[in-house]
Amino acid sequence: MLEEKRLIWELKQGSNDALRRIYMEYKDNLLTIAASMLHDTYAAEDVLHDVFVSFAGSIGNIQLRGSLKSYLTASVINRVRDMYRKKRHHLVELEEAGQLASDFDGPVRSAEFGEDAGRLTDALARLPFEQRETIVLHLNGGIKFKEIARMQRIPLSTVQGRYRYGLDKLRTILKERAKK
Amino acid sequence: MSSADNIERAIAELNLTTRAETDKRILDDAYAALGKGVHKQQSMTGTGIWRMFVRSRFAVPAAIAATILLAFALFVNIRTEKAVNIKGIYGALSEVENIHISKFQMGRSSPDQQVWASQTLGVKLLKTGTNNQAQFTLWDIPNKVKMIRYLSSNSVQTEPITQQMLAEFEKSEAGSADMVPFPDGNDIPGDAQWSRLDDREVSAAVPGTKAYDLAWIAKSTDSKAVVHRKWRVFVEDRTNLPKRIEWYAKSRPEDEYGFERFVIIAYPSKDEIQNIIRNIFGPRDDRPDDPEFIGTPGAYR
Repeated sequence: MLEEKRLIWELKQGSNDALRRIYMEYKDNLLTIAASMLHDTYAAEDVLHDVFVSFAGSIGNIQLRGSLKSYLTASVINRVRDMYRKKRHHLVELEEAGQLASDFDGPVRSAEFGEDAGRLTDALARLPFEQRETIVLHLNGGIKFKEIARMQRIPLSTVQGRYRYGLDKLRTILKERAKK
Repeated sequence: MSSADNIERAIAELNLTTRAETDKRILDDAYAALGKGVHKQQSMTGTGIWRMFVRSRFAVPAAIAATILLAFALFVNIRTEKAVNIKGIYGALSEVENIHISKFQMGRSSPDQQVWASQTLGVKLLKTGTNNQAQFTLWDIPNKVKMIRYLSSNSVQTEPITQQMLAEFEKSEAGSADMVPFPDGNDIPGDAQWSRLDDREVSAAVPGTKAYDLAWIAKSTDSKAVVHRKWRVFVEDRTNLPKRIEWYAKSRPEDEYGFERFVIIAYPSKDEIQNIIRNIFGPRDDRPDDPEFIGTPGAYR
């Protein structure tokens, strides 16, 4: 935390090196979170890009309340939500037409995740957005339920419920697929 | 992958790595955004030249100060009577108008860099290099002129300061972090150990001062690595201003602190800084034929 504050300080002086260090520290984890949520690696890279450009551009106004990791993770999730809302109208239309398999069926570079992991992200994409978000934030982002509840302004019990139901559903989906 | 436990582990182990071209694209755009963001911030808050040395944000809110004082009381080697605290030092620095800082690396007898800054005059003078290789750079903010004197060639370059140059200059000021351990009093961790040194020989190293240590554990961003840091400050009795600062670090708690670098600080008057600038760059009349110098008021020279 302390080194983070110093990095932020240096960043506020315009230090490219501080920005590079922060980026290198968190990029892969943030990309994984965005890709797990979006099921679209290219869109995930765009989210990562937008998050860091926005972070760098508004550094003078940023006041960290928690950790830098939480801040960046929340930024990623907010971008994903925006993207989700925009696509949702289109997805609803597809769903009504019976063409919807999952929230996002973008060009996932499944090979980069590996075969098993690819199946897992496919299954994740079939979860309701809120459940997927909670699972990804907790397991990929390493964020505690309490912090997720604070970030999303919802009760802790709701977060825990979403997580539990999400995992149950995920297990069901994977079992069904294993039978096929 | 049938059990919930396995699913949780599998999700936690998901990992993607960005491609090199993605890194370059993002970093290039982020650097550009950072430059614009910092420039915009500086435009809104004035030149920002003095923020590095004299920051109004140094003031510590009462709650934080109380936390620090409470932390002090927990350590047996703390002397609380008439002791200077961090708040006092940051507060004293916030009142400084003129300052001279000499930065030394361990084992060096001559400074790597010297900086004279005057908020009153709106100037900052930097000296780098030594002997006849020394270079002096003067940033004259009110007159929007930058002057460089190279002792090796005994030449002086003068150019107007643009907004872009100002932004670049302020970027380079991150090195002023050598002065204080944290940019803001609010950033001082609650468990940092602040203690007055009882060793009179140490304090006597800088006459008229008392020495204090601030020790804390600095964690890496992922909290996997820690560095034990110590900031030793020699504070002038009368003013609460630091006269000398030493930086130490160690990797393990059982190790001795390693001495890394030190800074010597003086507080000259406005006239003294004027004289230094005049001695280096000469009176304005010495360069009547320098076209770029024409029109520069140079009131302080």
